[in-house]
Amino acid sequence: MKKSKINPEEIRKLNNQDRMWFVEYWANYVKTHTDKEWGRQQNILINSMMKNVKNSKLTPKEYLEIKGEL
Amino acid sequence: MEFADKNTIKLSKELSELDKIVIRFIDILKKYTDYVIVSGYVAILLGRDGGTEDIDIIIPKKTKNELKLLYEGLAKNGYWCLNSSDLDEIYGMLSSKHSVRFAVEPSVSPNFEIKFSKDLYDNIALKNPLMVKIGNKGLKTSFLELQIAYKEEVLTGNKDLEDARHIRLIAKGSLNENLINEYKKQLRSK
Repeated sequence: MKKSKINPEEIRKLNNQDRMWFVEYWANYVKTHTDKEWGRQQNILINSMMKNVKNSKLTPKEYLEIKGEL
Repeated sequence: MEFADKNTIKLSKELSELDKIVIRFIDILKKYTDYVIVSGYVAILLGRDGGTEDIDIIIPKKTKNELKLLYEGLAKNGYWCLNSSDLDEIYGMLSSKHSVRFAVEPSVSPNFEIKFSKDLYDNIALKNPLMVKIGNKGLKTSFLELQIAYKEEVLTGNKDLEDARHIRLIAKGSLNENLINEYKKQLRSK
């Protein structure tokens, strides 16, 4: 079996390009739709994230350690 | 999204859970101090996809007594400081250019990362805020040219560059490109 020659740097670069493509796609969506329309889409994602974030059981010390602030 | 004037953007979107959390905190904070919201949440407020668990806020330098009033006001409304419950310690951290985080007790996030203004650019952001109005509420944020310059020149992480790109695209036609370049030049030589 041949070893694949995947260059991690190349993957990172492609990943960044994909992400930037989506930023531009989404910004265009925001520009061309009403606040209510893009807001509805954005809120689905944010509200779901907030549910998870609020359920965190970390103590302040654990949280600050993860953030590298202790 | 309406760029009403140089210092005002009007939004007519439904508030997200994050927006509500930020507005509640700011409603308390502004009773005790001037403030400006910077970094990731500003891009989110202006439509960037994704969320954040920390909201960065700059406030002017305070005396210990002024900070005590702010701290007590937040505590009375259910917030705790994740770094310490000792006012002297909190004041020491802020005075030595560190940030402290406040969240609704007993949770740790979302939280508000507060810093004292530490340099000319923080002062400029505080003195010339961009007001983002949502319904009858308003949030003071850093003006977009400085925000973009800082993200592209100082922070430069992938997320920061993406935030800057988003802001550039949604505010196209309302940005002062010369001002962005001037701030970038200044920040480079800092």
